[in-house]
Amino acid sequence: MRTIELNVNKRDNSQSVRALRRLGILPAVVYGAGGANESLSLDARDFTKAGLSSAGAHLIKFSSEDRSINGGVALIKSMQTHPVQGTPTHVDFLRIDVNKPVEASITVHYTGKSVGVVNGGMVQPIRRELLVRALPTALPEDIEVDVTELDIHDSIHLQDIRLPAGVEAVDTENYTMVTVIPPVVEKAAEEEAGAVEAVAAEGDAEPEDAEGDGDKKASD
Amino acid sequence: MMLQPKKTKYRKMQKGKGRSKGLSQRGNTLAFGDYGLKCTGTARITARQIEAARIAITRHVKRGGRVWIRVFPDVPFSKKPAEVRMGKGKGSPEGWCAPVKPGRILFEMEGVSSAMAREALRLGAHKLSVRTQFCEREDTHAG
Repeated sequence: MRTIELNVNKRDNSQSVRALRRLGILPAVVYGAGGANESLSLDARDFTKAGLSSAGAHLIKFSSEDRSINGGVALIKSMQTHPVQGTPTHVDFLRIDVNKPVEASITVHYTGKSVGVVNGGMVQPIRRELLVRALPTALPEDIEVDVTELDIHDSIHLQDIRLPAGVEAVDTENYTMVTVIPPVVEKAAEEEAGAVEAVAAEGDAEPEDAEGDGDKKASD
Repeated sequence: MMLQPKKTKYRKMQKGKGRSKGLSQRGNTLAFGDYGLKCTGTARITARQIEAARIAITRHVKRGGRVWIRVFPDVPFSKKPAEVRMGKGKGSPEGWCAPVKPGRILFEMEGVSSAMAREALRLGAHKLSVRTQFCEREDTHAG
């Protein structure tokens, strides 16, 4: 897992977060590991440039003038985003102890072209994230799952996934991660096509009746 | 078939000013598919518009791919007949609509290429009475 150094400052809670956002400052909070809750502020552009606004788990090392924050290691616990623009508006950091295992949500990538897709099916991911427990240094950035062998109606479950050494899944239930579904054919389109065919067949069989109907409609 | 509730408690509903204020706080992220159509304005999208957009999207992708509709028209709207003076009570129910706010995901797609999804959703967006934008999951999976 990548460790990213991030410049943060202590934030005065009397400041308006809206005003801070207008200045390009991202409000944040850090908590956990027995430490006190601290309100933080950081440069929104630095945060985005570091690739932290996208999916994936990253270890974050704080650098700050404040001694209580400087050198702290954290994970992103949650992030609020703007509904339209998708830019981060607030970040929750979870302070961690590097020597103790932590739980983190890791993005799952499904790779390869499956047999089912070749046969006309579609890969349907059921879960795109996996909650794992590991030492912070052993946490993977993402988990890759090969779906090449999957045919239509086949699926991969949690226990089928090979996790890196030192990483274990938190959930004990063996739920489905990904499946290959058969091609979806729209019923309405089928019915419509069927109706068109039926009308065409009728038209071929009794052209006189069809003309008669047309006259009636015109007279109405 | 057009979407509408199976059963309702009341026949008519008020427009509600709160339905057109602010941003969409729910349903603003992709939940099922890799591609989506996000609205950037406020509008009342009717069941007819949703159905027209769905047909436009599914016809473009033909076979393959899957479409999810993320809005449901559960608000009835009424209309007065033509050449009727104002007053004398509320009009009769005309149809169903889904009030949407900026940020709401309207449709989602999966199982098609990015270019095809973009074109299909563009065609679908033309059936809607709101400005929209195409959105894509950052970590799209392979086929």
